[in-house]
Amino acid sequence: MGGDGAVAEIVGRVVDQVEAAPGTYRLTVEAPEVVAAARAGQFVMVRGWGGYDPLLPRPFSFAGLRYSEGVFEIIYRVVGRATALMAQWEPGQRIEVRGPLGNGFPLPSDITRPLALVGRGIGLAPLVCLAQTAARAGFQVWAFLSARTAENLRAFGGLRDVASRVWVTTDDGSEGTPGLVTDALATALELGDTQVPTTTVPAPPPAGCGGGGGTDLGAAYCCGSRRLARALGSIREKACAQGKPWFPVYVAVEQLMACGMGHCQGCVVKVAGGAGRVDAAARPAGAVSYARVCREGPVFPLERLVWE
Amino acid sequence: MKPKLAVDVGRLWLCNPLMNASGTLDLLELAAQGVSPGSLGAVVTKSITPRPRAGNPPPRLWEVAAGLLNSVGIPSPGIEAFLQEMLPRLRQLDVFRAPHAPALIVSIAGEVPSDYGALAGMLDGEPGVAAIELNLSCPNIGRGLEFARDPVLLREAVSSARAATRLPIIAKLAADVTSVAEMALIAQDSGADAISVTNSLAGMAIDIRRKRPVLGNLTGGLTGPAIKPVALRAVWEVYRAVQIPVIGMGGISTSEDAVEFLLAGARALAVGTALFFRPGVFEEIEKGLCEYLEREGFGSVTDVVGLAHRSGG
Repeated sequence: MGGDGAVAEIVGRVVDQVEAAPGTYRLTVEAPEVVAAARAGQFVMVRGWGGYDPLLPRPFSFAGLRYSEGVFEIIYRVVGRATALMAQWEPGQRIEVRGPLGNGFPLPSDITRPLALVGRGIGLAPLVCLAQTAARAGFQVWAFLSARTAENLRAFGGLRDVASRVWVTTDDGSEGTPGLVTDALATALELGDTQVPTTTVPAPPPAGCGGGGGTDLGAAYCCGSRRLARALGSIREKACAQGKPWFPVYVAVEQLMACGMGHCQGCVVKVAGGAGRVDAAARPAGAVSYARVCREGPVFPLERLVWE
Repeated sequence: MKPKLAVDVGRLWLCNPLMNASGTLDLLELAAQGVSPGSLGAVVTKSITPRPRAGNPPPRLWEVAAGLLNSVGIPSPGIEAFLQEMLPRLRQLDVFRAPHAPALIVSIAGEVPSDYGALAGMLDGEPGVAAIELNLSCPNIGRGLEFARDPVLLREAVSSARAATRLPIIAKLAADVTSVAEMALIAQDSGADAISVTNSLAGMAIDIRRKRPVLGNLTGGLTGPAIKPVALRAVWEVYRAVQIPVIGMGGISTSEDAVEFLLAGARALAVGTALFFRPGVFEEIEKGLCEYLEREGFGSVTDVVGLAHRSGG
């Protein structure tokens, strides 16, 4: 599952930058050598400033890949000095791009089962790219979008455009329904019928109606939120307890990075049962170790991750 | 005529004075991703330890002004796995079959002084290993001090390595000690063939929202441009104190930086953090060095080593 393509270190060109919502930007960059080998789930390191402060390039997952144009998109929020600088970039700006890095989202081979993509706020960014890839491959994409408020979802129209069904939950009820996005998924799975209209949370089943039957998921994906990842795990447990088939849950993890290429061992997360190369020596089954988000990740199967 | 970049670091001959700092470059990873390492005089492995180590809990990284804090904590496959699996794979890499192949320097780290001897002994005679670098900035489990910060531990560790191998031994010291010159003399007396300085400087950051240290290991090592003045002074002092060659490192990011270190007394140079934000840094430094030497009328990089001392410094 590791990154297996050649990594390019090139100068890309900013094609477009749009402030999709206050403080949230969609940046489009022309970088054909990077895009040609790229898949949803992977990321790039970008740097477009001289000097030493900020020092390091910053990692961003692909939010879109346009292969025929050699162009990629990222969606980011201004959270610090580097992203504040990035928000100033104009079309024509030359930036250093290194990528594609990391592994990609695995897709099941059976395209008849829908995929659930569950994300909150800026965590939706890599899922946009995944949705586009999956839809192109013929999958039904069920998109579950969550945010504090409707404005935080404005950058993610690309996800809605390709999804077969969309559920929205916002904390303040400004769009969709208030409540937890994972409850929406749980309910959708329990009902699982195709008559339910999109953009609303389906009504709970009448009393006395058991589970079982309905739609089986091919896989579920989430990004950047420990809570969401755990909730997906619980939903899977409940689904299996009701006799539904097991489905893989993939989590796109974030971690601070320095090299982004697997050298410095700085970007690790705790994983269960034997990790990357450094654990080649025999370790007892169930022993906890570390894996590099930039190489063994950023996409991990849920059960591999160890939460503190 | 193109200036000569070849240098001798004691018995170790390098086709150019540049190498990566230990822990910042993994040749096997580069090969897997189809990236060329560029022209280097030597490559230095991540520190290898007697037993496998997972390393410290994350967060292991934090960027600061012009610098990087790390508390990676020496993850290591252990010497057995290194010898059986990693070293054979390293030897097979194309980069070592090229005409001007870099020298392979293996970095070793221990928990007690005799670890350095044990590791050096196991590497002694291994084909393909050109030298050993002692990572002495790891805590001694007995006394909780780092070898590079304690004269007694330093002497024991370097002596232990010396007794176990005929390979050239590079002792990597820390600049943030009371007297790095005194430590360098101890390393020299104990049989080191060269001194490399500096390892990362002790540092930390605190998250004011959570009101606790940012790094998983609480404190870490500072590297990058922020430490250059400290590293440079350490090279200056060590050069004055010892007769064995000095390898300088700490914040080198440009060819101008590299020249400063050469003038201060470094015979060879390591670049680490700059690799993360300037991938072409080795090529840039090599090019800039040649231009400097030509402009100043020097035929060889060795002509400038330690020149700053001569000018009444």
